[in-house]
Amino acid sequence: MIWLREDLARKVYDISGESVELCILCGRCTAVCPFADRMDIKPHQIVHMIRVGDWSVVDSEAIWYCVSCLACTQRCPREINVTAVIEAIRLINLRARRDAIELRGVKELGVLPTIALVGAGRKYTG
Amino acid sequence: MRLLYYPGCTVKTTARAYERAAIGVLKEFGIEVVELENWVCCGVYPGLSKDSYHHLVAPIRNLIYAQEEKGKLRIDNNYLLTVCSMCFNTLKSANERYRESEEARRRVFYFMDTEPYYEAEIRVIHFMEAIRDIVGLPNLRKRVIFPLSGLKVAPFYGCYLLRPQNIGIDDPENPRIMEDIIKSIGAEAVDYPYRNQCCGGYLVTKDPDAVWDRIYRIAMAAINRGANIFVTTCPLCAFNLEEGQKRRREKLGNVLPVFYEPELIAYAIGRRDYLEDERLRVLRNILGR
Repeated sequence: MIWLREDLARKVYDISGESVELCILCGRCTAVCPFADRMDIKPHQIVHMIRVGDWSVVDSEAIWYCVSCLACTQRCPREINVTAVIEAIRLINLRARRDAIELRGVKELGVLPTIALVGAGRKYTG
Repeated sequence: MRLLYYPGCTVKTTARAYERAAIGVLKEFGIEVVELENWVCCGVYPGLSKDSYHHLVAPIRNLIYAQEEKGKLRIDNNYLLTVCSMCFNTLKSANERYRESEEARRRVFYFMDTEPYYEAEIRVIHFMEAIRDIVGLPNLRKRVIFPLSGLKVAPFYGCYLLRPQNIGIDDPENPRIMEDIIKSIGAEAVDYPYRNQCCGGYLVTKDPDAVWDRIYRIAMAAINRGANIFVTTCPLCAFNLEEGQKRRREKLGNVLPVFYEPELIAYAIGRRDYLEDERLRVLRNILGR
């Protein structure tokens, strides 16, 4: 994938309206994240990578383990909407046709309620 | 009193028991629930991006339908009732963004220029708010004829009834609304650490095992604190809790049934007919009567 090497923090700001510059790296977002243990890069590290312009965060698996539960957003002492920041990184992928799932290939398709499938369509596909 | 009602996809399919009990309970308190003649899917999750507006289209279209029906039926309040926590949050978030942003209003109507203008007067409320703020807990307590004594209920709030704080219906860090209702109907509310945390949500489509492991942790905590039933207000939480416990049954040793808050209320006020037969059987089995 070839990226226009524009400022990542600026791009995240344009999409989400959130400034990662405010982050003090306290790690509270990671502490309260219900799926941090599944993430290759932890929420506070995602924020930091955006700040230093490390585009490899866009390719991380961690961003797809964010469940938009807003726990980090609720607790952030700097009032950063961390959920929206991670959503912005997901959107960089989804808007470039890089979907996280193929709905037809969903493992539990037979038992899942519509709410899960529409939610997944919203969060995992462009 | 009449309340306009937006159902959403899941209470019409896998969570029918929730809708039936919720509408029934409100009727017992003199509230006639009037389902919108037209409605479309809300989109499940509120959009988090600030540079796009398309996530507003479906929720605002629903709010336009509500505005129209309110006029047509001469309903004298601005409430739009929801029962699903996700629908509640998605509709209310869109309403707030639309209300606050001139740009959002302009863009939404550029896209929907054949719709009547939305005046942003509709107020989206959740079933739990209707019980707390319209019915009132003292009135609920007065109607209880079969107190659910012996029932140890683990309330599961999930995310979207509480967060973000400006949308949620209670203190996101220490919510009380579910416990207050549980106590009002004579049951015991079990305190455990995961009650206002995430069930795993849509991750179930991508990595179901991660969600089942999550549910294992939640259920184990509730079981260890002596709970014999889960109660929730979100059909996605309900699905993940039910299915996750099934998939981790051996490790858990015990599986807690998952009910919706109005089902327990219906039982307590003597309207068991608002419960589906199979679910009533499960509830009676736990209560031992």
